[in-house]
Amino acid sequence: MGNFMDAVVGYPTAIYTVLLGVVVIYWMLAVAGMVDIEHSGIDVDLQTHADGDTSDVGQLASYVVAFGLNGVPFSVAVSLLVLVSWTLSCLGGEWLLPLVPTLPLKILAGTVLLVASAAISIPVTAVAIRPLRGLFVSHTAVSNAALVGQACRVVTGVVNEKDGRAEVARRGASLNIRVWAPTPNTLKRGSQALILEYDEVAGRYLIAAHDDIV
Amino acid sequence: MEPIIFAVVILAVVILGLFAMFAKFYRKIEQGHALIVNTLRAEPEVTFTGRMVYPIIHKAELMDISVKTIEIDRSGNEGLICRDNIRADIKVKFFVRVNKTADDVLKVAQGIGCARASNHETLEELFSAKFSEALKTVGKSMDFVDLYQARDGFRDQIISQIGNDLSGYVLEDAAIDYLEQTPLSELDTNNILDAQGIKKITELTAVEHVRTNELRRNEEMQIKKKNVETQEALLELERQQADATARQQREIASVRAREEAETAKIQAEERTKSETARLVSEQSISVQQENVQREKEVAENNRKRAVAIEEEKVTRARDLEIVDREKEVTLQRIEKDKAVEVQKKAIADVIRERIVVERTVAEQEEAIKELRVVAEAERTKKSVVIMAEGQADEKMVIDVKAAETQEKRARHKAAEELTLADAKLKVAERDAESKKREAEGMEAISAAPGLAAAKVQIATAQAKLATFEAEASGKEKLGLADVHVRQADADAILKAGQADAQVIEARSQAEAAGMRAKFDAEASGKEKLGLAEVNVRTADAEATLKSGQADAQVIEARFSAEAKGLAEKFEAMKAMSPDTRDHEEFRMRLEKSHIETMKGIDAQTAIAKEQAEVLGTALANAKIDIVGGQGDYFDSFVRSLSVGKGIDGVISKSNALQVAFKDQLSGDRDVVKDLRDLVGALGNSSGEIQNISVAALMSRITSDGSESQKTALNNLISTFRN
Repeated sequence: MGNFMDAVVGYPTAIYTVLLGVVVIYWMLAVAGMVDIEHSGIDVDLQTHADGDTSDVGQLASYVVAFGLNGVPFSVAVSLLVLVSWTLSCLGGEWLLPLVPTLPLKILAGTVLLVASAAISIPVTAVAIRPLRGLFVSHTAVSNAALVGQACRVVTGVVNEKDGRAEVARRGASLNIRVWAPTPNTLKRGSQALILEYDEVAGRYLIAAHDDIV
Repeated sequence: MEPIIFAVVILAVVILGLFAMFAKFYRKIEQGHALIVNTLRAEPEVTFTGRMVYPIIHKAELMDISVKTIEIDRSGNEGLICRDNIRADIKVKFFVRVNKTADDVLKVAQGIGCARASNHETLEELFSAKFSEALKTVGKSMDFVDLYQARDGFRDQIISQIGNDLSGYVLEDAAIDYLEQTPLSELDTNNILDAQGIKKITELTAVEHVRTNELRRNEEMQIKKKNVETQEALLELERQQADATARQQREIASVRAREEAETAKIQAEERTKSETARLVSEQSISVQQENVQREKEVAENNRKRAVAIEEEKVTRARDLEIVDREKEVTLQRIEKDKAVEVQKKAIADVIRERIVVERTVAEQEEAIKELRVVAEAERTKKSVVIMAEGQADEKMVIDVKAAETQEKRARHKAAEELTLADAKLKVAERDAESKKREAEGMEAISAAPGLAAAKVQIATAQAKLATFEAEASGKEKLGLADVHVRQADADAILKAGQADAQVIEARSQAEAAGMRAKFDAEASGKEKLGLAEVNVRTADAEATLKSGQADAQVIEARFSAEAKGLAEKFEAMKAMSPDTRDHEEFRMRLEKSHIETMKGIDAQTAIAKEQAEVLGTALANAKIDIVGGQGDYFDSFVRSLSVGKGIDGVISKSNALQVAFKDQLSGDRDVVKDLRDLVGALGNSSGEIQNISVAALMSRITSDGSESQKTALNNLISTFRN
């Protein structure tokens, strides 16, 4: 046990221990409802560096995705990484480092262990995250632009450059959208059409008769 | 080992913490709502299902995105004005909602606010003005009637009018909940648009009202008509029913009655048959009895008739003998009377001359007296007449009765007198006959002095005057009586004649034969008589020639005396007043005509006798015209007589004629027949004369008479032809 405590507070595990402490506190806070687990520190960072250094965020996000750590809130992934890293470094510090003579060697070995444990923690975490992904799916609403390419049904008598409305069928309530089309067209009430593009400023879609495209 | 344990512990803690967090901070939302979570990001997140919402760091807002209805009600004087200026009360429901897209939800959330977007009132407040404006704009572009007919267009126009600036809301639909023309009472007549609208409404509705009223009245009319027809049909059916029941009852009754009648009829027929049988038997019995009775009586009557006929024949023969005897006696007596009368007449003439003178004197005296008496009588007459009328009326009743009794008595008396008259008639006939012969004789004697003979005849006629006057009056009465009697007789004879028709027929035939025989016998008798008379006359002629020469002187003396008398008479007559002369002439004319009448009556009696047989049969159905004592018949008779006399005179005077009629004179030929043929050829025979009166009788018989009478007549005619 003495060894364990030595290992916990000794180099390199001490770093992870601190991190682990932070994670534990974080979770404590989260349980208390004071922390948004889904929008972890990255968002905060992003927010703080909202000046335009979005590349970091993109970089980080890319790494996160690359290591297969996406799909769960970042806080959860970080917590798992920290926990796995701490466990590994703690095990190494308790069992392997006492085998290393001399201090420099010990420091060197400790650094290697730090890196190694971090490196190992990533795939482990990725593996661990996979079942958790389902828990953190959030169904956010579709955006208007997402409707482009879908089929719609004209509900007004005519569709011209000025006005016209159509309905896009969804699984639930259909969406009533404002559409337009260049005038000589065959569109009338009830005819099927395809949404070609979204004019965000006017908030309307260009449609064309289904038959014209096909 | 410790680190693993430690790690596991920490992991468990983390996992527990996670669960705790989920349990505590995961917020799920109902359908029809959107959850807008204001995270630490720039844009708030929108979810329609649910998400973790951490206190402090997150701000979550819930928004109602279900369909909202916004009702716009414009009615009364707020009504919608259409293009044709008619106000419409309209209630439109607009359905608005939010599309389930993040952008739209955020737009609504930011433009309106989640709380306000979920609150209906605020929404209405927000949109009603906009919708009203759109409504007005669109309404003014359409006719009132089009609002109904083109609702799609109406809605599309509203939608396009409202456009897309509904702060994220979309107008899903606009439903016209209520659309009606604003009642006229709500309209403001002083409003330009309203006034035009009122005008148009009135125009349209007036026509429609008229049409509606017409239709309504038609409906009423048809309903009424149908009701009436139904009623009629019902009544008709009832009538038919009643008719049928009545007919049935009648038929039942008639059948029953028919059957009863049939029964009664058959009973009656049966009874009739039995009765008939009984009656027939009785009838045949009684008929047989009657036949027996009849046969008996007929036989008896036949027997009686035969006996009576025989008796009658005997009686007739006896009577004829008696008549013959009486005739002879009477002739002799007349001869005697004639001689006496001639002398009496001479005396009477002298007396008459004197009396004539006396009478004229007396007549003048009488005329004076008469005037007096007449005047007095006139006075008394008037009083007497009045009294007499009263008495006459009184007497009339008595007289009528008396007359009736007298009539009966007269009738019996007439019958009595008739027989007397008949006897006298025969006497007169013989008388006439004798006179005729006498006249002929006289004429033969006084062929040369015909005037003397005429005078003699006049004298004899005048001598007969008294007799004839008496007889004439008697005969006139007799004639009248005869008429009655004959009428009565005619009735009697009619019956008798009918009864005896067959008897008479037989008898007449028998008699005709008898007469024919008798006439033949008489003709031959007359022939002989004629011969005898010729001889007598020749002897007489010679005798009279001598006595005539002797008488001539006597007559000459007498004639001179008469001439004197006549001269005196004429002197006296000259002395007479014209009236007296007229009277005298009248008297003489009367005498002449009286003589003629007597002659006529004589002729008639002869004819009547000849016709008696015919009359017997003819009177059965003849209305008898009694030929009067004056008329054509008499005249023609007299003419025929004078012709006969002339002929006789000519023959007796002319030798040539004597030679010519030698046969007749000698009796070889029947003068009468020859004469009849001769004169008949001239159309004036004595037979023709008879035919003139008999013709009517015969024609009546031929037209109305019975067969037996006709045959009797034919037989009679045939006897005349022979």
